[in-house]
Amino acid sequence: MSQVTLSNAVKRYGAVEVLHGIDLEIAANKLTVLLGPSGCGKSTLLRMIAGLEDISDGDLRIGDRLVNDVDPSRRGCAMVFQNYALYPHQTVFKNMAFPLKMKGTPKSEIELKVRETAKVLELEPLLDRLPRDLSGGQRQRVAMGRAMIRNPEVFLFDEPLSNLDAELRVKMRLEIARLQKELGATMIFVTHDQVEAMTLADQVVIMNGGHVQQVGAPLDIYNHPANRFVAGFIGSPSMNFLPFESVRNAENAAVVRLEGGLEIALDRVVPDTARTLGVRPEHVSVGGRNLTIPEDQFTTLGAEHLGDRAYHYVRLPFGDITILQAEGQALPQTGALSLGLNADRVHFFDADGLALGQASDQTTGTT
Amino acid sequence: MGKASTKNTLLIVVLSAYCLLTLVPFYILAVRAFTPTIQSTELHLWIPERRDLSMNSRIGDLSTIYNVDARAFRNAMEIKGYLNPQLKLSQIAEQYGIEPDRIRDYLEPYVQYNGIYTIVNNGFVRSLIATIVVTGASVLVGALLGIMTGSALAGFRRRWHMFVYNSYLLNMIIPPMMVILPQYIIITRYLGLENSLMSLILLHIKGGALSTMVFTSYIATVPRELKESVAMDGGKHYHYFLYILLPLMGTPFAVFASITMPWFWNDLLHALVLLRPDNYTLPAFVASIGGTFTTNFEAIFSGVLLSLAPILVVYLVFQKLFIRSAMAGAVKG
Ligand SMILES: Nc1ncnc2c1ncn2[C@@H]1O[C@H](COP(=O)(O)OP(=O)(O)OP(=O)(O)O)[C@@H](O)[C@H]1O
Ligand SMILES: [Mg+2]
Repeated sequence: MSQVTLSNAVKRYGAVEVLHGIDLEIAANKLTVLLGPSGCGKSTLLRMIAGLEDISDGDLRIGDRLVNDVDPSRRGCAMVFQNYALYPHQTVFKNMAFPLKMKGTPKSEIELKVRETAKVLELEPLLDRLPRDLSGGQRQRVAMGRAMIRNPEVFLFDEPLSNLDAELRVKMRLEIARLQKELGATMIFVTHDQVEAMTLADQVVIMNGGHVQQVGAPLDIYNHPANRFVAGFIGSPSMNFLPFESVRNAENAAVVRLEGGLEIALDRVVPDTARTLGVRPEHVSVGGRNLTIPEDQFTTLGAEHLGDRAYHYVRLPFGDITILQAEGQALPQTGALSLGLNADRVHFFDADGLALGQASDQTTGTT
Repeated sequence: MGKASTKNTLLIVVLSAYCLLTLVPFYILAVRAFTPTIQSTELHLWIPERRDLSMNSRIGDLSTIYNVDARAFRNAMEIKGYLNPQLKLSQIAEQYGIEPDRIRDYLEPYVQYNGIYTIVNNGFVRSLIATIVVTGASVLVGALLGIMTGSALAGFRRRWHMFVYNSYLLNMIIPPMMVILPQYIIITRYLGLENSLMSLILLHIKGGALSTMVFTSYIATVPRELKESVAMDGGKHYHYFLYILLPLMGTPFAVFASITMPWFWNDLLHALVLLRPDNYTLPAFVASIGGTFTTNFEAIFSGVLLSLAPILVVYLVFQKLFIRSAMAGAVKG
């Protein structure tokens, strides 16, 4: 139905450029999550799509229509704001009826539609309440209802769950996913919570510093980050990065010499231009034979116990490393620490931070 | 426990004392309204006993102190020609052959109590209506202008917003007395608003420093998402103004109204300068009722008391609204 296409979209505030030529295709009828650290321009991008911010340069298309200069209400978008932006003195019913009232819909039809939408969202008993008499989750649903009632082609969400507590957040996440399936609408969802992104998204757009870093399915991005930023941003705790000095490649094997002199033996070839090795905590195992650290070269910094598993933090000469262990398994107290790395799950990055030596199953951006 | 309750008791005592202190002027005023002028040089904490009409009092003194209209008295007593104000009542009775009781009956009401009596019979209601019109229009129009300015300036997104705002505030430091003459000339000569209530309304809403201040700062706290949401829902700016912003202005309106209403209501200076007696608002009316050569304090204080009553009611109503909306907004979410 309605995909959203940005070509070379630029946003400037005066002399400050906050979005630097975004090229992005947001798939129709899918849920796309814009993910990135605070200040990277997610909200700005979303608000540009909504029409609340002008586009300084480039094109924005919704469906096949160029909408750069189209009024927000005529873009077929509905937005759910982070603070919900419910009209505080109007009842739930009136809040939801507002868009229809603005359209000049007849009263009887408004009544019908509001009740219908309220039913879907289980808001029926609350229709006569004021927003201030609702819980956070209920407010959130009213905001959704107000967005849904116009049958928009594109739903825009700006961190809609960030005001909710953890439990409710999970519930509303499922709710949104369900609605997306039911309505089959295009949804764009801004968040800086990667769990939200991983669980909700059909497609994730990772942004940083006003650039798109990578676009892809959640697992693709997790398994094949396009660059060091994405690799470090996705996954918690973050991927371990081991900068190295040199590489000696042999047939199907390589020895990587880390800064500080330690060596890692790998059963795979390492790209020549690689400068950093990345490996996630869950792909490091204690007792392997890839990397042996003498007793006097590491200190354990402590562990985070999550019940079923624990993250152990270890300080090495070239930096810290995080290791995932099942609960109950401790690091050796004495002697050298030997680690195994899952060779297939080791990532390499060149001097510019770009991922190397992986298949072309990913879209790459630039840092 | 002992410490906390002592502290609480102390707090309650201090607060009550403070409360009483603020209420004392009202009490004194109320007592004054029932204190005969002849006793008004003393401070009374309770309504003093009224002296009976003495046939030894001079008719001139009576007209000075109790607003007795000497001409009306002469007509009523069918006295022709000049009546010497130095004459005592008993002398008048004797001299003109009038029954002392007739004189007593005529004058008794004045002496008995004449405060509210004098006020009401001399055009209180007319002045009250004029005051209501002026105050009501000033507050409503002033608030509307303030809301409009506030919604235009809120957030100070442009440099000139701040400039406009500051220039409005500057208006506050002009002493009204200093500009009263040029104001008078402009209003009567160039606007043709001589003796018109409109002139007072105009003066009250001009500049609007306070309304701008109150509404701008409150509107700045209204999340901009509301406006954006209206825009996305297909509403125009006036929809936002009418349906969303205006209904949210209860709290700042209560603040604005409770501050300015007493000003407007009690504005003596401008009313005296710009209006004629047939159009006087309450303060000017009360001031004029004392008489030109006489001062009937009982009437004056009654007038003040009476003119305060309506504003007091309105004021209390707004206070309630103010407190309620302040509480509603206090809870986060
Ligand atoms: N009106 C403005 N003028 C100048 N710079 C702005 C303006 N609005 C936003 N910015 C800048 O644009 C950048 C992107 O802001 P944006 O709100 O899109 O970030 P975000 O990714 O949504 O962050 P968050 O996760 O904190 O909401 C920020 O660096 C911000 O400082
Ligand atoms: Mg944001």
